[in-house]
Amino acid sequence: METYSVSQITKKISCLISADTTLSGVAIEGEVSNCTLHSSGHLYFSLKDEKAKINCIMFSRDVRNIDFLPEAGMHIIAYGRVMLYEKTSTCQLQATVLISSGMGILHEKYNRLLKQLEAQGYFDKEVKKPLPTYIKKVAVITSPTGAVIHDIINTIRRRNPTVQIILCPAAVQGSAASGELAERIARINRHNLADVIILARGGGSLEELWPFNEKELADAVYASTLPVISAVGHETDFTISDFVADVRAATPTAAAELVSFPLEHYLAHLSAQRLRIAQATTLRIEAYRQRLKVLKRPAALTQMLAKNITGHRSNLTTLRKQLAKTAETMLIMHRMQLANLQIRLEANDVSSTLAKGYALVKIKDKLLQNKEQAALHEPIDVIFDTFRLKAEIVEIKGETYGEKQNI
Amino acid sequence: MAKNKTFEEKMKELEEKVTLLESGEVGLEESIGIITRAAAIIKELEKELDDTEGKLKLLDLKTDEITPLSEDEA
Repeated sequence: METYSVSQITKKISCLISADTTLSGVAIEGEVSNCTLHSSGHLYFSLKDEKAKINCIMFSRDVRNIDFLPEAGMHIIAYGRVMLYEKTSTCQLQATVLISSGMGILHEKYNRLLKQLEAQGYFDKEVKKPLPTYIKKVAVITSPTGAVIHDIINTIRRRNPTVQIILCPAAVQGSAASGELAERIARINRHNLADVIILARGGGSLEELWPFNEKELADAVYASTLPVISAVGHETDFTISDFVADVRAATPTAAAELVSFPLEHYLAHLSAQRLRIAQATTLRIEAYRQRLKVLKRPAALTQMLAKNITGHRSNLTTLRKQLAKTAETMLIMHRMQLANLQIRLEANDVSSTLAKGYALVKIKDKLLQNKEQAALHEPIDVIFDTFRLKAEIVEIKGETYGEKQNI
Repeated sequence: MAKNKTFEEKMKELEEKVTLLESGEVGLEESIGIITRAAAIIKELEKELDDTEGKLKLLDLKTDEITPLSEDEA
């Protein structure tokens, strides 16, 4: 049997491989595992599938041309030459071109779903719900570990510690994630656990963010009666959930700010309301005081009558005149009554006198009361109480009654 | 007094009452009733804003219950 040296054998294998037309220019699709960028600029990585693995190298001059950095887990297509590295007898692919095949497929899927949902009205502005003015409870759907949930909690705490935060843990990457996320949204809606929902996840590759591009999650966000804030990835990442959600926040911190109205603002608002009440009350009381003041002053009352005074004045004059006339009339009446009474009184006196036997003597219808009225031979009437006599004066003598009798 | 009104509803009711008072269209006695109610609402709201106890909760996936969470959960 012929024996060969190691170099000879490896050389033989190398030639076999080089001679193969397929292997000298081949595109291999596989999953990247342990990728390293050397300081020299060369890229070292492996491609694998379920059964096998092959080492790859990409020289720096070609590395410059790729527009992405391969990461473990990524599905890519590497094009190049398969050759034998004789020193270790390992096959390797010297790649000159890298295409992210996984990325390509996902991008296509993304664009297709985006168009489809847009046509179905998932992104319509009219469907989006406004956030409530006063948010008391926030449900946060995110990974229970990591910086995202802590950022959200700290931001809300700082601005308004009265807001209740309900953590709803869920996977945020991997194949099961979109189902879990959708389920959380449905559950929170079912029990009406919060005023608003935040869907949050930190930055990542398209594959890592992929659950947020699934239709299952888009449906759940669309169907949610509670408003949903989507805060997924970095500021420049736009996932489908961002478009379907009622509000898109560029970062989880921004989402936290949206749901936590600074406490001081609420308190200032209430103070302002208090002030308004006090001022309104003071104004009312002042108004009433003024009215009372006016009513209390008599001059004011007189002023209120001022318009009618002319009318009243003329009425008064008329009344005065009437009164005067009445008084005059009454005075005359009284005088007459008095005179009447006098006469009656006098008459009474006379009757009683006559009844005693005395007589009234009249001359020429006048009462004969003194000597000068008498004249000789004048007729006189002598009036008694029940009869009268006609007589003639035969003698006139001046004599005071009683003297002659010596009484 | 509707205590089970939401924070939002109370804020709205307060605004309505204050505006009514400012309009001056209400009689003096009725105004006193409105002022009393408005002051009560303000007090309730300030109390709610004062309450910061137990504000971090966890949704228990098995029972759908919200359970309180301490600071060092994650």
